[in-house]
Amino acid sequence: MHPVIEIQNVSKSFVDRNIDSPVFEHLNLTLNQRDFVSLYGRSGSGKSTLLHIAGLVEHPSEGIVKLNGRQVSELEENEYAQIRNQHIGFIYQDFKLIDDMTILENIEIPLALSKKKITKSERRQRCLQMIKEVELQGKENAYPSQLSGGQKQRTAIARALINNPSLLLADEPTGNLDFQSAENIMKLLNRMYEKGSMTIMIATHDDYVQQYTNKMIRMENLLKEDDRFEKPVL
Amino acid sequence: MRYLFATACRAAKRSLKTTLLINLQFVFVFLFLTVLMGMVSQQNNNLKQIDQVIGENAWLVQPTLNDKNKVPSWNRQQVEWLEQKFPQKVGLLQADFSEMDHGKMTYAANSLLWDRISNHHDSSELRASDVDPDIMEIINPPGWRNAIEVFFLKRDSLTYPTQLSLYIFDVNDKEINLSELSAELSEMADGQPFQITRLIGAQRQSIVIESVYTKVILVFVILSSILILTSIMSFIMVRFLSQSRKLAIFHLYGATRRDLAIFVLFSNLMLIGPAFAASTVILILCSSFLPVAVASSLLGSFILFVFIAFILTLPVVHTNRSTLKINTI
Repeated sequence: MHPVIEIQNVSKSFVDRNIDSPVFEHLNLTLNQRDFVSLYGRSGSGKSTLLHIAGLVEHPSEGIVKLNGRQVSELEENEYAQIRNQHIGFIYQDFKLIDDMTILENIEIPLALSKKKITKSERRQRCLQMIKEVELQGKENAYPSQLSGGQKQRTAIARALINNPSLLLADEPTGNLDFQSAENIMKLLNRMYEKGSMTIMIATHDDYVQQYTNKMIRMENLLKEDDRFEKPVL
Repeated sequence: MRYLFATACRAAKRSLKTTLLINLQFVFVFLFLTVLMGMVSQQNNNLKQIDQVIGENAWLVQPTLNDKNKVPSWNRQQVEWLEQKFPQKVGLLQADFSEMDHGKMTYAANSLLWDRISNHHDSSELRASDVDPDIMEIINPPGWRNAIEVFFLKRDSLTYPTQLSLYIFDVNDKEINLSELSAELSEMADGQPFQITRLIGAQRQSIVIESVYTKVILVFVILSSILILTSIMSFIMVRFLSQSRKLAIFHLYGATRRDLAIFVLFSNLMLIGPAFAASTVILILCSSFLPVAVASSLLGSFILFVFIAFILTLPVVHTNRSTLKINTI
């Protein structure tokens, strides 16, 4: 299994009004193809920041980031955007759906913004197929406000997966859901994982999430070299 | 790009009432501004036309006397001195009251003044009724309002010294020193005082006053437009917030900054594009009433339109800059 994302000696700090606030320093992480990782850590430990660096949303302050063997940490923001579009999917706790767009339109966004030529009918076809996979048939023309939390997260998952990304990053995907809905979402993610060759990393506080993943990482351990332990694949 | 346009259209359609309301306000903004700009431009054109005939910088030089029983007079030395000082700029008009009792009055004009009043007429005699009323108003020859018939004659040499009106044309404020000129003339006439006044025709004066009024109104309209725009801005800032969220999500899923700018521009066009089109159509329909307004305002309103389209873009892009960090949306 080749490495999908390699984070080497990465430091990140935010500068606000000339005050430098370091989030983490000299962090190392490698995720291989078909890794399904749960990332644990206390609040403020930098889980979301790590996801954003791995997802090419933010540049590291120092260090190297490689995606599928290609060094990407020095690339421009627009190149980041295009790589995100082609290779990375995101899921967030608050779903990040656009309220005045229907479910179908929300799912369509990555396809529509892709630099590849995809016809409107093909986009629609792929979206309908994805809607079927996340079991939201009949909700194509509904707006996010008309959906339950679980359905919204399904929509977000469908949007994240519509471009067949090699890396899926989820930031507390079950944080806003009741236990039943959360479990359904994890089952859905697991099903999607089983079907493809995708790498998934989930930042979470929920202990039960690790039963779906094949690797668990604690943020604090990432800061020490090679200090992580693996769980057997379920 | 088609997708971004379609998305902007859909968003405008889904908040149709707001979009229509903003467009309606912009129709008024465009109409007011463009009509007023057109009026200012029309007044400037009228002034230019008037100034081309009589000249903006025309002066009347008159001898004045404290004793009303005496007739103010010129001498040859003064006139020749002035003609030398302002070559080809001195106009002379001498009144002949001898036939006033018969209801007839004749003015003899030197060639420079003749060219201005006759509009390069071939004959050497002209009825006052053939002279442009504005020019008559401006040169205002002595006693002409009382006469039934007024004639102008072209004369190469005039008899001095009485009933002579002397004009200086096309000399601006910087080229003429009124006190110095008055003193020089006075010296040549044994201390007789001279008055030099700028000639402003009634029509020119009214246009200047109208123009000032229009400009004042224009300033007020611009100020109120800015207020309207400000209120629209704060009104649609709410929309901007959701717009910023939308942009951040688009960016997360692969939209480049160029895509975002195009999308925001399209969104702004939905707010002002129909208003611009509607105000242009209204102006064209009213063109029979305000031809100059339409002609000059189309370009002006287009510039305004482009300006507003980008001005409306700036806050979103700015807002967006601080919210592109996806964890803050």
